[in-house]
Amino acid sequence: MAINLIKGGEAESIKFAKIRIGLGWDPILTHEGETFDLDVSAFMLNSTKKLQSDDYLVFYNSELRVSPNNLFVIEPQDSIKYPSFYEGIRLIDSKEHHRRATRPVDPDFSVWGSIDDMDGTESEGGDDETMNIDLRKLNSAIEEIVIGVSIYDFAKWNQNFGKVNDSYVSIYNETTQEEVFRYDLQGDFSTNTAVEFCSIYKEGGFWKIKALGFGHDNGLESLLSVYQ
Amino acid sequence: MAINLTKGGNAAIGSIQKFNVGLGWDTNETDSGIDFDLDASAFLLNSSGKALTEKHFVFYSNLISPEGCLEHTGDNLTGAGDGDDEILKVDLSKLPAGCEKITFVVTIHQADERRQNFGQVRNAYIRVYDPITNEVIVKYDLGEDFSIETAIEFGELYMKDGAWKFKAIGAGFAGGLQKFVDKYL
Repeated sequence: MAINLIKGGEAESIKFAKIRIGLGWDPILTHEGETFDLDVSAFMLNSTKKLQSDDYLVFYNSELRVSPNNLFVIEPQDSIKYPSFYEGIRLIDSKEHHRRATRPVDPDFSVWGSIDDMDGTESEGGDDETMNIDLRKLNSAIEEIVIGVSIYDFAKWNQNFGKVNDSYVSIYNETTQEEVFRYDLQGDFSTNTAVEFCSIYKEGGFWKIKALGFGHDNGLESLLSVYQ
Repeated sequence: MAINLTKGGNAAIGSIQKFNVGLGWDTNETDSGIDFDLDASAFLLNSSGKALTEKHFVFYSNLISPEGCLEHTGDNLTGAGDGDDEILKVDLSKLPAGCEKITFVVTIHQADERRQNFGQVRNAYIRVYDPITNEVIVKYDLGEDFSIETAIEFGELYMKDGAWKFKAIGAGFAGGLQKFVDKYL
């Protein structure tokens, strides 16, 4: 049985190194043709609570990327392997094809982001995006990882977290596949387009996790302005 | 360096009807001193993957398809010069009924007689661009994985769900242009 984290509640110790983070949500679509694109990001922070460098933001556009089948080798963009194609009248160029087919990673191969699910169709019922973290591989300068979720292009359909139901973050022990912690986002986020879900941080040499539940109004940009 | 938050490098391009397909390559110097003559050709294919008619096979001896959908701008006999070596113009507004795919190939003229193959060809690419703005819509470098091949399928335009898409192929074959004539006619 997972321990429920509560905003403002006690931090819990993490007693395993290989973490899988699953995030889920259930957007309410109110327009014809509307798509809801939620993205998970990991901000890897140093002792000054800032990104160690740009490469320590693991998110949909991270420069460093790996194939889902080979998590420890940077997968270069290759126009033969990832050719351009048209999606309707929209050109998906090689760079974008590569981006969609690969997972972002930090320079130390310790945090892997999700394959980008751009319309929330990736999962039915299960986690919408997953991240993996190996605490033993983290750069020693990293003291905290903030997990945030943001709505991409929120202005287009006037979207916000008030239109997202049942958001949660689940923390699994990757080795045992057991769900250890869970935080169900509760509260009024109806003006917010980005939410900091949880923080995994180092205290006295040990890793802990706590729920955050902080809302922001300008999507991923607002998280970046806090941590960059 | 700034963190870019925008997904996808290119904006929507709208439904361009006319564009050029440029093919380029460089050839290695050969001891024989014999010129390399590479030819670009294209086939207008129906749903079963065959050319609509013989006239829908556009190559150095048939420079324009009957409806004017596809036009070859002429044969470059030596591959000399920078930029595209051969250009085919596509006008989708003149697309013949029943055409679902246009495939672009490059072959070596008299490869066997001249003992030439794509192993001696470098920097091969195919690009699709807007002839008015010269904006490149898509460009593929075909790499240097070829050796004894004498015919390369560079790429294809194809119709899917009512929209035209472009796909690079880069598949090599022996048998020169005859290979594709056998396959598509």
